[in-house]
Amino acid sequence: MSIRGGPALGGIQSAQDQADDAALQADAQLADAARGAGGDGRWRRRLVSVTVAAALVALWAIVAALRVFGRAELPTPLRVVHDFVHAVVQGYGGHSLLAQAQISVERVVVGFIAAAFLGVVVGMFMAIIPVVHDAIDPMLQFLRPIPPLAFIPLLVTWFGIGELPKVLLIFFCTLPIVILNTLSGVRGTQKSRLRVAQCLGASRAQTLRHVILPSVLPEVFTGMRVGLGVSWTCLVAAEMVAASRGLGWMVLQAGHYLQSGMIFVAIITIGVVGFLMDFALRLIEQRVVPWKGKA
Amino acid sequence: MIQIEGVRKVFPGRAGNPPTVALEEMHTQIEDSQFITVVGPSGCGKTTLLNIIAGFEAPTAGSVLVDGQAVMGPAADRAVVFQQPSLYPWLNVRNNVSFGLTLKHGRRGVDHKRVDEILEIMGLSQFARHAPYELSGGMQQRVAIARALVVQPKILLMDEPFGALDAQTRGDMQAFLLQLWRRLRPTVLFITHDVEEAILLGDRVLVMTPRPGRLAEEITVELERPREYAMVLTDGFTVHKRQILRVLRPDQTELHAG
Ligand SMILES: Nc1ncnc2c1ncn2[C@@H]1O[C@H](COP(=O)(O)OP(=O)(O)OP(=O)(O)O)[C@@H](O)[C@H]1O
Ligand SMILES: [Mg+2]
Repeated sequence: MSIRGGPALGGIQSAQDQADDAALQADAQLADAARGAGGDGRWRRRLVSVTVAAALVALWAIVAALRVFGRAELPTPLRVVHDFVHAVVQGYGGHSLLAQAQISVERVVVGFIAAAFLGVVVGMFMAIIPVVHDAIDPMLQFLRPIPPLAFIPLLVTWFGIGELPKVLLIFFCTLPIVILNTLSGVRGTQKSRLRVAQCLGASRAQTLRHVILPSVLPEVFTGMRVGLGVSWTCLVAAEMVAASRGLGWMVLQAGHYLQSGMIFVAIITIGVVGFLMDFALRLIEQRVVPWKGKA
Repeated sequence: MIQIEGVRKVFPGRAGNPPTVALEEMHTQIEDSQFITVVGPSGCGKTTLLNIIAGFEAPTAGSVLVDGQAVMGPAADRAVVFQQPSLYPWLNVRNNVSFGLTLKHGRRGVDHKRVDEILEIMGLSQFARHAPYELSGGMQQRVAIARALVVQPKILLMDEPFGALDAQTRGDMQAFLLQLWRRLRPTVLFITHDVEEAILLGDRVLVMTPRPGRLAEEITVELERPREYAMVLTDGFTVHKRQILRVLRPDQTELHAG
Protein backbone atom coordinates (compact mmCIF):
# COMPACT_ATOMS: atom_id res chain seq x y z
CA MET A 1 0.00 0.00 0.00
CA SER A 2 2.98 2.29 0.49
CA ILE A 3 4.23 2.33 -3.01
CA ARG A 4 1.34 4.02 -4.69
CA GLY A 5 2.31 7.30 -3.06
CA GLY A 6 5.68 7.38 -4.81
CA PRO A 7 8.79 8.48 -2.96
CA ALA A 8 8.81 9.12 0.73
CA LEU A 9 8.34 12.86 0.54
CA GLY A 10 6.14 13.72 3.48
CA GLY A 11 5.74 10.10 4.35
CA ILE A 12 3.93 10.98 7.51
CA GLN A 13 1.40 13.27 5.95
CA SER A 14 0.61 10.55 3.50
CA ALA A 15 -0.12 8.46 6.56
CA GLN A 16 -3.44 10.26 6.65
CA ASP A 17 -4.21 9.15 3.11
CA GLN A 18 -3.27 5.66 4.05
CA ALA A 19 -5.50 5.73 7.08
CA ASP A 20 -8.26 6.85 4.73
CA ASP A 21 -7.38 3.96 2.49
CA ALA A 22 -7.65 1.58 5.39
CA ALA A 23 -10.98 3.10 6.33
CA LEU A 24 -12.24 2.71 2.79
CA GLN A 25 -11.19 -0.88 2.81
CA ALA A 26 -12.92 -1.42 6.13
CA ASP A 27 -16.04 0.14 4.63
CA ALA A 28 -15.87 -2.24 1.74
CA GLN A 29 -15.51 -5.16 4.11
CA LEU A 30 -18.41 -3.83 6.10
CA ALA A 31 -20.50 -3.62 2.97
CA ASP A 32 -19.64 -7.25 2.36
CA ALA A 33 -20.63 -8.20 5.86
CA ALA A 34 -23.83 -6.21 5.55
CA ARG A 35 -24.70 -8.16 2.46
CA GLY A 36 -24.59 -11.26 4.63
CA ALA A 37 -20.95 -12.37 4.39
CA GLY A 38 -22.00 -13.29 0.87
CA GLY A 39 -19.52 -15.47 -0.95
CA ASP A 40 -21.33 -14.18 -4.00
CA GLY A 41 -20.69 -10.46 -3.57
CA ARG A 42 -17.13 -11.17 -2.60
CA TRP A 43 -16.41 -13.13 -5.75
CA ARG A 44 -18.03 -10.50 -7.89
CA ARG A 45 -15.77 -7.88 -6.34
CA ARG A 46 -12.69 -10.04 -6.79
CA LEU A 47 -13.65 -10.52 -10.40
CA VAL A 48 -13.81 -6.76 -10.90
CA SER A 49 -10.37 -6.32 -9.34
CA VAL A 50 -8.78 -9.06 -11.42
CA THR A 51 -10.43 -7.87 -14.63
CA VAL A 52 -9.22 -4.33 -14.19
CA ALA A 53 -5.69 -5.51 -13.39
CA ALA A 54 -5.68 -7.78 -16.43
CA ALA A 55 -6.98 -4.97 -18.62
CA LEU A 56 -4.18 -2.69 -17.43
CA VAL A 57 -1.56 -5.30 -18.23
CA ALA A 58 -3.11 -5.79 -21.66
CA LEU A 59 -3.08 -2.05 -22.28
CA TRP A 60 0.52 -1.95 -21.19
CA ALA A 61 1.38 -4.79 -23.58
CA ILE A 62 -0.32 -3.01 -26.49
CA VAL A 63 1.31 0.37 -25.81
CA ALA A 64 4.71 -1.29 -25.45
CA ALA A 65 4.24 -3.34 -28.64
CA LEU A 66 3.24 -0.23 -30.59
CA ARG A 67 6.53 1.39 -29.56
CA VAL A 68 4.84 4.60 -28.50
CA PHE A 69 7.81 5.00 -26.19
CA GLY A 70 11.30 3.70 -26.80
CA ARG A 71 12.21 0.27 -25.58
CA ALA A 72 14.31 1.77 -22.79
CA GLU A 73 11.41 3.84 -21.53
CA LEU A 74 8.68 1.20 -21.52
CA PRO A 75 9.55 -2.47 -21.49
CA THR A 76 7.05 -5.04 -22.69
CA PRO A 77 5.46 -7.31 -20.11
CA LEU A 78 7.40 -10.18 -21.63
CA ARG A 79 10.62 -8.28 -21.13
CA VAL A 80 9.75 -7.76 -17.48
CA VAL A 81 9.04 -11.46 -17.03
CA HIS A 82 12.36 -12.22 -18.69
CA ASP A 83 14.19 -9.80 -16.38
CA PHE A 84 12.34 -11.24 -13.42
CA VAL A 85 13.52 -14.74 -14.20
CA HIS A 86 16.99 -13.37 -14.73
CA ALA A 87 16.95 -11.56 -11.38
CA VAL A 88 15.73 -14.68 -9.61
CA VAL A 89 18.14 -17.11 -11.25
CA GLN A 90 21.29 -15.15 -12.10
CA GLY A 91 20.63 -12.34 -9.65
CA TYR A 92 21.08 -8.61 -10.07
CA GLY A 93 24.03 -6.65 -8.70
CA GLY A 94 25.57 -9.79 -7.28
CA HIS A 95 22.53 -10.99 -5.33
CA SER A 96 19.44 -12.90 -6.32
CA LEU A 97 16.11 -11.11 -6.23
CA LEU A 98 15.16 -13.16 -3.22
CA ALA A 99 18.26 -12.01 -1.34
CA GLN A 100 17.57 -8.40 -2.33
CA ALA A 101 14.03 -8.71 -1.03
CA GLN A 102 15.23 -10.45 2.10
CA ILE A 103 17.61 -7.66 3.10
CA SER A 104 14.86 -5.08 2.55
CA VAL A 105 12.37 -7.08 4.57
CA GLU A 106 14.88 -7.46 7.38
CA ARG A 107 15.43 -3.72 7.55
CA VAL A 108 11.72 -3.03 7.59
CA VAL A 109 10.93 -5.70 10.15
CA VAL A 110 13.59 -4.57 12.62
CA GLY A 111 12.76 -0.87 12.37
CA PHE A 112 9.03 -1.51 12.33
CA ILE A 113 8.91 -3.86 15.30
CA ALA A 114 11.06 -1.56 17.41
CA ALA A 115 8.82 1.39 16.51
CA ALA A 116 5.61 -0.55 17.13
CA PHE A 117 6.75 -1.64 20.57
CA LEU A 118 8.10 1.70 21.69
CA GLY A 119 5.21 3.54 20.05
CA VAL A 120 2.58 1.65 22.03
CA VAL A 121 4.45 2.12 25.30
CA VAL A 122 5.14 5.82 24.75
CA GLY A 123 1.60 6.41 23.50
CA MET A 124 0.13 4.77 26.60
CA PHE A 125 2.33 6.78 28.94
CA MET A 126 1.55 10.00 27.11
CA ALA A 127 -2.14 9.32 27.36
CA ILE A 128 -2.06 8.47 31.04
CA ILE A 129 0.55 10.84 32.46
CA PRO A 130 0.02 14.46 31.42
CA VAL A 131 3.65 15.44 32.10
CA VAL A 132 4.91 12.83 29.66
CA HIS A 133 2.46 14.10 27.08
CA ASP A 134 3.55 17.70 27.52
CA ALA A 135 7.19 16.67 27.27
CA ILE A 136 6.88 14.64 24.09
CA ASP A 137 4.01 16.14 22.15
CA PRO A 138 5.79 19.30 20.90
CA MET A 139 8.58 17.17 19.50
CA LEU A 140 6.09 14.96 17.68
CA GLN A 141 4.24 17.94 16.26
CA PHE A 142 7.55 19.43 15.14
CA LEU A 143 8.76 16.26 13.46
CA ARG A 144 5.50 15.38 11.76
CA PRO A 145 5.67 17.74 8.79
CA ILE A 146 9.35 17.03 8.04
CA PRO A 147 9.75 14.64 5.12
CA PRO A 148 11.79 11.60 6.20
CA LEU A 149 14.01 11.99 3.15
CA ALA A 150 15.42 15.13 4.71
CA PHE A 151 16.97 13.10 7.49
CA ILE A 152 18.87 10.76 5.22
CA PRO A 153 21.96 12.94 4.69
CA LEU A 154 22.24 13.48 8.43
CA LEU A 155 21.83 9.80 9.22
CA VAL A 156 24.43 8.93 6.64
CA THR A 157 26.82 11.53 8.04
CA TRP A 158 26.37 10.23 11.55
CA PHE A 159 26.01 6.51 11.05
CA GLY A 160 27.61 5.81 7.68
CA ILE A 161 25.96 3.63 5.08
CA GLY A 162 25.62 0.48 7.15
CA GLU A 163 22.37 -1.05 8.36
CA LEU A 164 21.90 1.28 11.31
CA PRO A 165 20.89 4.48 9.49
CA LYS A 166 18.34 2.61 7.37
CA VAL A 167 16.77 0.88 10.31
CA LEU A 168 16.78 4.13 12.26
CA LEU A 169 15.06 5.98 9.44
CA ILE A 170 12.30 3.39 9.31
CA PHE A 171 12.07 3.51 13.06
CA PHE A 172 11.65 7.28 13.16
CA CYS A 173 9.15 7.31 10.29
CA THR A 174 6.94 4.72 11.92
CA LEU A 175 7.21 5.73 15.55
CA PRO A 176 5.06 8.91 15.50
CA ILE A 177 2.27 7.13 13.65
CA VAL A 178 2.07 4.34 16.20
CA ILE A 179 2.34 6.80 19.09
CA LEU A 180 -0.40 9.06 17.78
CA ASN A 181 -2.75 6.17 17.07
CA THR A 182 -2.21 4.68 20.51
CA LEU A 183 -2.75 8.08 22.04
CA SER A 184 -6.00 8.68 20.24
CA GLY A 185 -7.02 5.11 21.08
CA VAL A 186 -6.64 5.71 24.80
CA ARG A 187 -8.29 9.11 24.55
CA GLY A 188 -11.16 7.57 22.65
CA THR A 189 -11.80 4.83 25.21
CA GLN A 190 -15.52 5.06 25.75
CA LYS A 191 -16.32 6.79 28.99
CA SER A 192 -19.04 4.28 29.78
CA ARG A 193 -16.56 1.40 29.54
CA LEU A 194 -14.38 3.12 32.12
CA ARG A 195 -17.32 3.92 34.33
CA VAL A 196 -18.61 0.37 34.29
CA ALA A 197 -15.24 -0.80 35.60
CA GLN A 198 -15.08 1.95 38.21
CA CYS A 199 -18.43 1.16 39.72
CA LEU A 200 -17.48 -2.51 39.84
CA GLY A 201 -14.61 -1.43 42.07
CA ALA A 202 -11.70 -1.46 39.61
CA SER A 203 -8.47 0.17 40.75
CA ARG A 204 -6.51 2.43 38.40
CA ALA A 205 -4.15 -0.39 37.53
CA GLN A 206 -7.05 -2.77 36.90
CA THR A 207 -8.81 -0.25 34.70
CA LEU A 208 -5.63 0.17 32.68
CA ARG A 209 -5.00 -3.53 32.33
CA HIS A 210 -8.56 -4.80 31.82
CA VAL A 211 -10.30 -1.93 30.04
CA ILE A 212 -7.98 0.62 28.46
CA LEU A 213 -5.41 -1.79 27.09
CA PRO A 214 -7.85 -4.05 25.24
CA SER A 215 -9.83 -0.99 24.16
CA VAL A 216 -6.89 0.56 22.32
CA LEU A 217 -5.83 -2.61 20.53
CA PRO A 218 -7.91 -1.94 17.41
CA GLU A 219 -6.40 1.51 16.99
CA VAL A 220 -2.94 0.19 17.71
CA PHE A 221 -3.37 -2.21 14.83
CA THR A 222 -4.62 0.55 12.56
CA GLY A 223 -1.51 2.52 13.52
CA MET A 224 0.72 -0.46 12.88
CA ARG A 225 -0.75 -1.10 9.45
CA VAL A 226 -0.39 2.51 8.39
CA GLY A 227 3.09 2.49 9.95
CA LEU A 228 4.08 -0.60 8.01
CA GLY A 229 3.15 1.11 4.77
CA VAL A 230 5.19 4.15 5.72
CA SER A 231 8.09 1.89 6.69
CA TRP A 232 8.26 0.63 3.15
CA THR A 233 8.12 4.12 1.73
CA CYS A 234 11.00 5.16 3.97
CA LEU A 235 13.01 2.06 3.27
CA VAL A 236 13.01 2.52 -0.46
CA ALA A 237 14.04 6.14 0.03
CA ALA A 238 16.87 5.09 2.33
CA GLU A 239 18.09 2.41 -0.04
CA MET A 240 18.05 4.81 -2.92
CA VAL A 241 20.54 7.05 -1.20
CA ALA A 242 22.92 4.94 0.76
CA ALA A 243 22.89 1.26 0.02
CA SER A 244 24.53 -1.37 -2.12
CA ARG A 245 21.74 -3.91 -1.81
CA GLY A 246 18.01 -4.06 -1.41
CA LEU A 247 14.96 -3.49 -3.58
CA GLY A 248 15.18 0.30 -3.40
CA TRP A 249 18.79 0.17 -4.47
CA MET A 250 17.76 -2.08 -7.38
CA VAL A 251 15.33 0.55 -8.63
CA LEU A 252 17.98 3.25 -8.60
CA GLN A 253 20.75 1.08 -10.02
CA ALA A 254 18.60 -0.18 -12.86
CA GLY A 255 17.60 3.42 -13.52
CA HIS A 256 21.24 4.43 -13.91
CA TYR A 257 21.72 1.85 -16.62
CA LEU A 258 18.34 2.43 -18.27
CA GLN A 259 17.33 -1.17 -17.50
CA SER A 260 13.66 -0.34 -17.47
CA GLY A 261 12.62 -3.98 -17.29
CA MET A 262 14.59 -4.40 -14.08
CA ILE A 263 13.05 -1.22 -12.64
CA PHE A 264 9.65 -2.78 -13.19
CA VAL A 265 10.81 -6.02 -11.58
CA ALA A 266 12.01 -4.18 -8.48
CA ILE A 267 8.92 -2.01 -8.21
CA ILE A 268 6.56 -4.92 -8.60
CA THR A 269 8.51 -6.91 -6.03
CA ILE A 270 8.30 -4.02 -3.57
CA GLY A 271 4.57 -3.87 -4.11
CA VAL A 272 4.08 -7.60 -3.69
CA VAL A 273 6.26 -7.89 -0.60
CA GLY A 274 4.60 -4.85 0.97
CA PHE A 275 1.21 -6.35 0.26
CA LEU A 276 2.20 -9.71 1.75
CA MET A 277 3.46 -8.09 4.94
CA ASP A 278 0.25 -6.09 5.29
CA PHE A 279 -1.70 -9.27 4.70
CA ALA A 280 0.24 -11.05 7.44
CA LEU A 281 -0.42 -8.17 9.81
CA ARG A 282 -4.09 -8.32 8.93
CA LEU A 283 -4.21 -12.02 9.79
CA ILE A 284 -2.64 -11.28 13.16
CA GLU A 285 -5.10 -8.45 13.65
CA GLN A 286 -8.06 -10.72 13.01
CA ARG A 287 -6.75 -13.12 15.64
CA VAL A 288 -5.97 -10.51 18.27
CA VAL A 289 -8.92 -8.14 17.82
CA PRO A 290 -11.75 -10.15 16.29
CA TRP A 291 -14.18 -7.51 17.55
CA LYS A 292 -12.66 -4.71 15.48
CA GLY A 293 -15.37 -2.85 13.61
CA LYS A 294 -18.11 -4.83 15.35
CA ALA A 295 -18.33 -3.17 18.72
CA MET B 1 -30.50 4.71 52.63
CA ILE B 2 -29.64 7.38 50.07
CA GLN B 3 -29.98 11.00 51.13
CA ILE B 4 -29.87 13.69 48.48
CA GLU B 5 -29.32 16.98 50.24
CA GLY B 6 -29.54 20.26 48.42
CA VAL B 7 -27.77 18.92 45.35
CA ARG B 8 -27.09 21.54 42.71
CA LYS B 9 -25.09 21.08 39.54
CA VAL B 10 -23.83 23.80 37.26
CA PHE B 11 -21.83 23.00 34.14
CA PRO B 12 -19.49 25.85 33.23
CA GLY B 13 -20.23 27.31 29.81
CA ARG B 14 -17.58 26.69 27.23
CA ALA B 15 -16.48 29.10 24.48
CA GLY B 16 -18.49 32.05 25.74
CA ASN B 17 -21.69 30.11 26.34
CA PRO B 18 -23.47 30.79 29.59
CA PRO B 19 -23.15 28.06 32.23
CA THR B 20 -25.87 25.40 32.34
CA VAL B 21 -27.72 24.86 35.57
CA ALA B 22 -28.57 21.17 35.29
CA LEU B 23 -29.90 20.54 38.78
CA GLU B 24 -31.28 22.99 41.30
CA GLU B 25 -31.70 22.24 44.99
CA MET B 26 -32.64 18.56 44.89
CA HIS B 27 -33.78 17.11 48.19
CA THR B 28 -35.04 13.61 48.71
CA GLN B 29 -34.47 10.42 50.58
CA ILE B 30 -34.58 6.82 49.40
CA GLU B 31 -35.11 3.95 51.80
CA ASP B 32 -33.32 0.62 51.43
CA SER B 33 -34.82 -1.82 48.94
CA GLN B 34 -37.13 0.80 47.50
CA PHE B 35 -37.72 0.92 43.78
CA ILE B 36 -37.60 4.57 42.77
CA THR B 37 -38.30 5.77 39.26
CA VAL B 38 -37.43 9.19 37.90
CA VAL B 39 -39.27 10.86 35.02
CA GLY B 40 -38.76 14.27 33.52
CA PRO B 41 -38.41 16.03 30.20
CA SER B 42 -35.27 15.57 28.15
CA GLY B 43 -32.36 17.63 29.43
CA CYS B 44 -33.81 18.16 32.91
CA GLY B 45 -30.81 16.61 34.63
CA LYS B 46 -31.84 12.99 35.24
CA THR B 47 -28.55 11.57 34.01
CA THR B 48 -26.69 14.26 35.93
CA LEU B 49 -28.45 13.19 39.11
CA LEU B 50 -27.55 9.55 38.50
CA ASN B 51 -23.93 10.43 37.75
CA ILE B 52 -23.70 12.32 41.01
CA ILE B 53 -25.15 9.46 43.02
CA ALA B 54 -22.85 7.01 41.24
CA GLY B 55 -19.91 9.25 42.07
CA PHE B 56 -18.90 9.94 38.47
CA GLU B 57 -19.46 13.64 38.95
CA ALA B 58 -19.26 15.90 41.97
CA PRO B 59 -22.20 18.19 42.81
CA THR B 60 -21.55 21.94 42.64
CA ALA B 61 -23.29 22.27 45.99
CA GLY B 62 -24.99 19.93 48.42
CA SER B 63 -24.16 16.28 48.93
CA VAL B 64 -25.30 12.71 48.48
CA LEU B 65 -25.05 10.38 51.45
CA VAL B 66 -25.24 6.61 51.24
CA ASP B 67 -25.86 5.09 54.65
CA GLY B 68 -24.69 8.33 56.19
CA GLN B 69 -21.42 8.40 54.24
CA ALA B 70 -20.83 11.17 51.69
CA VAL B 71 -20.28 9.84 48.16
CA MET B 72 -16.73 10.68 47.08
CA GLY B 73 -16.44 8.60 43.93
CA PRO B 74 -17.69 5.45 42.25
CA ALA B 75 -17.60 2.28 44.34
CA ALA B 76 -18.74 -1.31 44.15
CA ASP B 77 -21.80 -0.78 46.37
CA ARG B 78 -23.46 1.26 43.61
CA ALA B 79 -23.76 -0.58 40.30
CA VAL B 80 -24.78 1.30 37.18
CA VAL B 81 -26.61 0.15 34.06
CA PHE B 82 -26.40 2.65 31.21
CA GLN B 83 -28.73 3.25 28.33
CA GLN B 84 -26.18 1.53 26.07
CA PRO B 85 -25.10 -1.93 27.28
CA SER B 86 -21.38 -0.94 27.18
CA LEU B 87 -20.18 -4.52 27.24
CA TYR B 88 -16.54 -5.44 26.71
CA PRO B 89 -16.28 -6.95 23.23
CA TRP B 90 -13.02 -8.76 24.03
CA LEU B 91 -14.78 -10.83 26.72
CA ASN B 92 -17.46 -13.40 26.06
CA VAL B 93 -20.86 -13.09 27.72
CA ARG B 94 -19.85 -15.13 30.73
CA ASN B 95 -16.67 -13.18 31.36
CA ASN B 96 -18.52 -9.92 30.95
CA VAL B 97 -20.95 -11.00 33.63
CA SER B 98 -18.21 -12.16 35.99
CA PHE B 99 -16.06 -9.06 35.35
CA GLY B 100 -16.79 -7.49 38.74
CA LEU B 101 -16.03 -10.75 40.55
CA THR B 102 -12.76 -11.14 38.66
CA LEU B 103 -11.70 -7.65 39.70
CA LYS B 104 -12.42 -8.45 43.31
CA HIS B 105 -11.29 -12.04 43.71
CA GLY B 106 -9.03 -12.68 40.73
CA ARG B 107 -9.75 -15.05 37.88
CA ARG B 108 -9.42 -18.09 40.13
CA GLY B 109 -11.61 -16.76 42.92
CA VAL B 110 -14.74 -16.28 40.83
CA ASP B 111 -17.83 -17.91 42.31
CA HIS B 112 -18.90 -19.83 39.22
CA LYS B 113 -22.12 -21.05 40.77
CA ARG B 114 -23.28 -17.50 41.28
CA VAL B 115 -22.40 -16.61 37.69
CA ASP B 116 -24.22 -19.67 36.37
CA GLU B 117 -27.25 -18.83 38.44
CA ILE B 118 -27.55 -15.29 37.16
CA LEU B 119 -26.97 -16.39 33.56
CA GLU B 120 -29.80 -18.87 34.08
CA ILE B 121 -32.14 -16.26 35.53
CA MET B 122 -31.39 -13.92 32.65
CA GLY B 123 -31.96 -16.65 30.10
CA LEU B 124 -28.41 -16.30 28.85
CA SER B 125 -27.05 -19.77 29.65
CA GLN B 126 -26.88 -20.89 26.05
CA PHE B 127 -25.06 -17.74 25.05
CA ALA B 128 -22.38 -17.82 27.74
CA ARG B 129 -19.62 -18.34 25.22
CA HIS B 130 -20.90 -15.90 22.62
CA ALA B 131 -19.26 -12.57 21.97
CA PRO B 132 -21.45 -9.62 23.01
CA TYR B 133 -21.75 -8.37 19.44
CA GLU B 134 -23.33 -11.67 18.48
CA LEU B 135 -26.34 -10.95 20.70
CA SER B 136 -29.47 -8.92 20.08
CA GLY B 137 -29.87 -5.52 21.74
CA GLY B 138 -32.23 -6.86 24.40
CA MET B 139 -29.89 -9.71 25.26
CA GLN B 140 -26.94 -7.33 25.47
CA GLN B 141 -28.84 -5.20 27.93
CA ARG B 142 -29.61 -8.32 29.97
CA VAL B 143 -25.89 -9.08 30.08
CA ALA B 144 -25.25 -5.55 31.32
CA ILE B 145 -27.85 -5.99 34.06
CA ALA B 146 -26.42 -9.38 35.01
CA ARG B 147 -22.95 -7.85 35.19
CA ALA B 148 -24.25 -5.22 37.59
CA LEU B 149 -26.25 -7.65 39.72
CA VAL B 150 -23.71 -10.44 40.11
CA VAL B 151 -21.66 -8.37 42.55
CA GLN B 152 -24.85 -8.01 44.63
CA PRO B 153 -24.73 -4.24 44.92
CA LYS B 154 -26.84 -2.60 47.57
CA ILE B 155 -27.84 0.03 45.07
CA LEU B 156 -28.67 -0.35 41.40
CA LEU B 157 -28.66 2.82 39.31
CA MET B 158 -30.26 2.49 35.88
CA ASP B 159 -30.29 5.20 33.23
CA GLU B 160 -33.05 4.52 30.72
CA PRO B 161 -31.84 0.93 30.42
CA PHE B 162 -34.72 -0.14 28.18
CA GLY B 163 -34.90 3.05 26.15
CA ALA B 164 -33.43 1.48 23.03
CA LEU B 165 -35.63 -1.61 23.04
CA ASP B 166 -38.83 -2.37 21.15
CA ALA B 167 -42.11 -2.49 23.09
CA GLN B 168 -42.25 -6.28 23.30
CA THR B 169 -38.70 -6.76 24.57
CA ARG B 170 -39.16 -3.83 26.85
CA GLY B 171 -42.18 -5.44 28.51
CA ASP B 172 -40.25 -8.68 28.98
CA MET B 173 -37.31 -6.83 30.46
CA GLN B 174 -39.53 -4.94 32.88
CA ALA B 175 -40.96 -8.22 34.13
CA PHE B 176 -37.45 -9.63 34.42
CA LEU B 177 -36.23 -6.69 36.40
CA LEU B 178 -39.11 -6.80 38.85
CA GLN B 179 -38.58 -10.51 39.38
CA LEU B 180 -34.91 -9.94 40.10
CA TRP B 181 -35.64 -7.09 42.40
CA ARG B 182 -38.06 -9.24 44.39
CA ARG B 183 -35.37 -11.86 44.88
CA LEU B 184 -32.36 -9.67 45.60
CA ARG B 185 -34.00 -6.55 46.99
CA PRO B 186 -31.45 -3.92 45.99
CA THR B 187 -32.34 -0.25 46.22
CA VAL B 188 -33.13 0.79 42.65
CA LEU B 189 -33.05 4.22 41.06
CA PHE B 190 -34.50 3.82 37.61
CA ILE B 191 -34.53 6.69 35.12
CA THR B 192 -36.99 6.69 32.25
CA HIS B 193 -38.94 9.14 30.19
CA ASP B 194 -41.79 6.70 29.76
CA VAL B 195 -44.48 7.65 32.27
CA GLU B 196 -46.16 4.23 32.17
CA GLU B 197 -42.88 2.49 32.82
CA ALA B 198 -42.23 4.76 35.77
CA ILE B 199 -45.59 3.93 37.38
CA LEU B 200 -45.50 0.25 36.55
CA LEU B 201 -42.10 -0.33 38.13
CA GLY B 202 -41.79 2.14 40.94
CA ASP B 203 -42.76 2.31 44.59
CA ARG B 204 -42.33 6.01 44.20
CA VAL B 205 -42.04 8.22 41.14
CA LEU B 206 -39.87 11.33 41.26
CA VAL B 207 -41.19 13.81 38.70
CA MET B 208 -38.77 16.50 37.64
CA THR B 209 -39.32 19.95 36.12
CA PRO B 210 -37.69 21.10 32.90
CA ARG B 211 -34.15 22.45 33.23
CA PRO B 212 -32.94 23.45 35.71
CA GLY B 213 -34.18 20.16 37.12
CA ARG B 214 -36.01 20.33 40.39
CA LEU B 215 -38.24 17.85 42.08
CA ALA B 216 -41.73 18.84 40.99
CA GLU B 217 -43.58 16.05 42.72
CA GLU B 218 -43.05 12.73 44.45
CA ILE B 219 -45.81 10.25 43.83
CA THR B 220 -46.21 7.12 45.90
CA VAL B 221 -47.58 4.42 43.63
CA GLU B 222 -50.57 2.70 45.17
CA LEU B 223 -50.57 -0.39 42.99
CA GLU B 224 -50.13 -3.77 44.62
CA ARG B 225 -47.17 -6.04 43.93
CA PRO B 226 -46.41 -8.17 42.04
CA ARG B 227 -47.14 -5.76 39.22
CA GLU B 228 -48.21 -6.82 35.79
CA TYR B 229 -48.73 -5.02 32.55
CA ALA B 230 -52.54 -5.30 32.68
CA MET B 231 -52.49 -2.81 35.54
CA VAL B 232 -52.08 0.06 33.07
CA LEU B 233 -55.82 -0.34 32.45
CA THR B 234 -56.85 0.16 36.06
CA ASP B 235 -58.26 3.39 37.45
CA GLY B 236 -55.48 3.66 40.01
CA PHE B 237 -52.93 3.67 37.21
CA THR B 238 -54.78 6.33 35.25
CA VAL B 239 -54.95 8.56 38.29
CA HIS B 240 -51.19 8.37 38.71
CA LYS B 241 -50.62 8.93 35.03
CA ARG B 242 -52.77 12.04 35.07
CA GLN B 243 -50.93 13.30 38.16
CA ILE B 244 -47.60 12.98 36.38
CA LEU B 245 -48.67 14.33 33.02
CA ARG B 246 -50.16 17.36 34.71
CA VAL B 247 -46.63 18.22 35.81
CA LEU B 248 -44.83 17.23 32.64
CA ARG B 249 -47.27 18.63 30.06
CA PRO B 250 -49.65 21.00 31.85
CA ASP B 251 -51.27 22.39 28.67
CA GLN B 252 -51.86 19.04 26.97
CA THR B 253 -53.25 17.10 29.91
CA GLU B 254 -55.99 19.62 30.38
CA LEU B 255 -57.06 18.98 26.80
CA HIS B 256 -57.13 15.22 27.18
CA ALA B 257 -58.39 15.00 30.70
CA GLY B 258 -60.76 17.94 30.56
N1 LIG C 1 -20.68 17.31 30.80
C1 LIG C 1 -21.55 18.32 30.58
N2 LIG C 1 -21.11 19.56 30.27
C2 LIG C 1 -21.97 20.56 30.05
N3 LIG C 1 -23.30 20.46 30.13
C3 LIG C 1 -23.81 19.25 30.44
C4 LIG C 1 -22.96 18.12 30.68
N4 LIG C 1 -23.75 17.06 30.97
C5 LIG C 1 -25.02 17.51 30.91
N5 LIG C 1 -25.06 18.82 30.60
C6 LIG C 1 -26.27 19.65 30.49
O1 LIG C 1 -27.04 19.47 31.65
C7 LIG C 1 -28.41 19.36 31.33
C8 LIG C 1 -28.96 18.07 31.90
O2 LIG C 1 -28.40 16.97 31.20
P1 LIG C 1 -28.77 15.47 31.53
O3 LIG C 1 -27.95 14.61 30.65
O4 LIG C 1 -28.66 15.24 32.98
O5 LIG C 1 -30.29 15.43 31.08
P2 LIG C 1 -31.30 14.19 31.08
O6 LIG C 1 -32.42 14.56 31.96
O7 LIG C 1 -30.58 12.94 31.37
O8 LIG C 1 -31.81 14.22 29.57
P3 LIG C 1 -32.23 12.97 28.64
O9 LIG C 1 -33.59 12.55 29.05
O10 LIG C 1 -32.25 13.58 27.28
O11 LIG C 1 -31.19 11.91 28.81
C9 LIG C 1 -28.51 19.44 29.82
O12 LIG C 1 -28.92 20.74 29.48
C10 LIG C 1 -27.12 19.20 29.33
O13 LIG C 1 -26.88 19.96 28.20
MG1 LIG D 1 -30.06 11.19 30.24
